[in-house]
Amino acid sequence: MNRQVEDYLEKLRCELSTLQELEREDIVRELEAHLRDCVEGGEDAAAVLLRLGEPATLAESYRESATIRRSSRSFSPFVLLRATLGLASQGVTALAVFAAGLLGYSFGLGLALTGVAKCIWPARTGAWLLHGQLIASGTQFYPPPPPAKELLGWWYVPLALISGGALLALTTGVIRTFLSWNRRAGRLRRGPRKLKSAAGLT
Amino acid sequence: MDSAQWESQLRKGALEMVVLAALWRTPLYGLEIIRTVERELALALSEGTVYPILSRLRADNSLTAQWVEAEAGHPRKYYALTDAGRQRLLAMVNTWDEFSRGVNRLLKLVEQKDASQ
Repeated sequence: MNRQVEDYLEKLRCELSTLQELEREDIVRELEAHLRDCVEGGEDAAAVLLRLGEPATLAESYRESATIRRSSRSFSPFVLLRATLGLASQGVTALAVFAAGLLGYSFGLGLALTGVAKCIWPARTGAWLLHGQLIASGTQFYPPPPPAKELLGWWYVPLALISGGALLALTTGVIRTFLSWNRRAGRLRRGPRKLKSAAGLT
Repeated sequence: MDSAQWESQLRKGALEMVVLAALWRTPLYGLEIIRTVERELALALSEGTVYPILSRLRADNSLTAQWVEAEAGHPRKYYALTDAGRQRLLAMVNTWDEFSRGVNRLLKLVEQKDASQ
């Protein structure tokens, strides 16, 4: 193996660092075998590397196929939302799940944060009632003046943290279910659907 | 979209089917798949497109991959169609047939209109 090839494969390894080691080494080993075959067949290694493309671009193509697989097992909001958005080009459902996910995460996080805010600005955070109706909740810059009455007191903190956390967990669960459902059903579903649109064309 | 970009998208769309078709009769390793497709289609394929496709097809169970030790030389990764892969390919071929027939019909209209002008 010449120096240029070794450098290339090393760069690719770095770019693929998010994949599992077994998967990554399998890819690198396969490309290494390919390069060796080409060079032994009289081809210039540099030309083959050029056809493989930049390590970053190649790694991106590999990752695309791995993203959905991996992310349906992930708990990170970032990974989950990105994978959902990646599917959005294939259907409205994914876009809807993405939007719902974004809402769920922001409300959940917002709610939990007001629980923390209650400890910092106790008078400005809470749930206020006026004549038996909820008129404001969360952290307010100008809390409603009396006769509005704050309802929860310090109970606000655990309630906000628990319900915010529950909302985050629910959002995560929904997206994960959607991703793994899409992974299992996607391939099967796409075949017949394409057939229909092709028939529509004729 | 310029025509080179369009051509590359067109090719990419068909490539998955073409790769599966190359494996219809016998398991092959990456380089053999590329050579087969290039020979049949008289078209230069870049490794950078083919290998990630192979990886994806394996991930969704259309292909299996196995390292095979050669008598002389180094081991190579052979890909073979699974039953699911065969089913998928057959469905793709159907889609392709219907689609290309429709497109050809449309293109005929384009030609006629052009001739009448």
